[in-house]
Amino acid sequence: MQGFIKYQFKSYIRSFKIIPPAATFLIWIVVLYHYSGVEILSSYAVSSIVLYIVTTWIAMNLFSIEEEAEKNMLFVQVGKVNYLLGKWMISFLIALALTLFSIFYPLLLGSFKEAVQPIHLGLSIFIHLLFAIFGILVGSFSSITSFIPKRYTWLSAVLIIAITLSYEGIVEKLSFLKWLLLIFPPVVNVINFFEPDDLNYFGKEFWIFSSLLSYTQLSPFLH
Amino acid sequence: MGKVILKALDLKKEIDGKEILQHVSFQIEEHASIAIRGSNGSGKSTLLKLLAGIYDPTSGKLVRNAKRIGYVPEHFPENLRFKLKEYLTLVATFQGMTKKDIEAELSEYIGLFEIESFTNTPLKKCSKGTKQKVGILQALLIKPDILLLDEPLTGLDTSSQQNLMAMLEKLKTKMTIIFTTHEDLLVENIADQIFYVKDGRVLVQTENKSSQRVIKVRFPNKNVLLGLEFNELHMEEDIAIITISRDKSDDLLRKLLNNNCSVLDVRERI
Repeated sequence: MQGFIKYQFKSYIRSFKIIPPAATFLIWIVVLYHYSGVEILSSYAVSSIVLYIVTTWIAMNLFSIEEEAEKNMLFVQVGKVNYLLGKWMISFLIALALTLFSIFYPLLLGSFKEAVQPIHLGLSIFIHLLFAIFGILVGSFSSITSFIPKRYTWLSAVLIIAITLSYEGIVEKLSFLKWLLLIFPPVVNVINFFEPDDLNYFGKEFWIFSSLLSYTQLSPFLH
Repeated sequence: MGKVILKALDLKKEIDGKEILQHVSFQIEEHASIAIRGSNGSGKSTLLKLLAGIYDPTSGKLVRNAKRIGYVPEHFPENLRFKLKEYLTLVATFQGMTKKDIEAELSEYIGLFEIESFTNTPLKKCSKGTKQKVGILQALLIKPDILLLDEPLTGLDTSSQQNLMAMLEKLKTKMTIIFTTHEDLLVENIADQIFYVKDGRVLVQTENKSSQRVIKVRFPNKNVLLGLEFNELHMEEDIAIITISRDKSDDLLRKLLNNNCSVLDVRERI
């Protein structure tokens, strides 16, 4: 697997396709922390939403960098399952690098209005990595499912992102969709804990919700 | 009877709702050499991709008793972002080969394929023939039990074609070789069996050796051909193409040479 990840990473970097999503993310973070005295948790919530979109972009890029013959050879060389795992791992590693930048950049600049405690750091790492996994899943789903025609893959990813970000508004207007929309990543539900920028909101409900979410996200990797 | 390395049971493959292959059943023994033949679009490459595991069958069962499979596509990818040796080294690491083993294997194969001067050349800048050689090399490097080749002679010059055929002949004893091809020469030299793909079905022919030979000669005058025994004769100016049964071909060749004819080509009729 190590060899395949190295292969993927070199191929992706040399394709220069990483530049648009990575540059978008870095610029966004720089702009977000242009002003000092900002709130901790809600700022990290915003950067994790951007990471969600950018990771979807990166995952879709990674699934489309090979032409048919190269993909066929890789399927035989590493197997279809390892091919998929390799793509997920490289997406996650890139998202991890972006996460570290988005967490430590405001700390280095001293952008926050209060002192950052370890619980803030823990929660920010959690939400960034969780949203990175959401992004990888949305990107993979749009790229590899056979029932979405190739020319609609980007459109479907944008649609899923739009639905997940406007979940509350959709449910308010069309309440009958409430259960159907549960199949999408619960982005808004997680963000709602962070928006008030108050550690008191992270009670029992958050931890039960997070544990269930983490299990459902990680179960494909564990089995 | 040898160990069965591949077994297909009533395979069916549909792509975009179109039935490409249906009711395909066969078994392939270890160290067999199989040529898959058929007209363009008949499903040869689809069958090869099913055997490679690139495609999953729509229905039916395919059993592979092989640890490693090497696959050579018809056209090597155009946009690989690696240098030749860097690419092969990376591919070898997929199988967990040590650096020392990779170096030893690579230097042997690179020498054999005569691509020493391109080892540090980006693959994008390599010629079609060199890329095709790299395609074959990446499959051989992993020491496969089954080697699958899609039109392996495509893009190779005559000398490389001869080298590849010689190599495949050597490899025949070490692994199972399955290839699609339109080239009679490759079938004649390498294949023990031929699978004909037609109308989505696969017909297995176990005896490959043809019963007829086609002889191309230049003759001094038409009279020298009179009285000779053959099955078919086509003439064009001073060139004759004669089809004759295999057992009588040597005798005919002798007579043609005695009658001052120049033998231009002798090949098996497939």
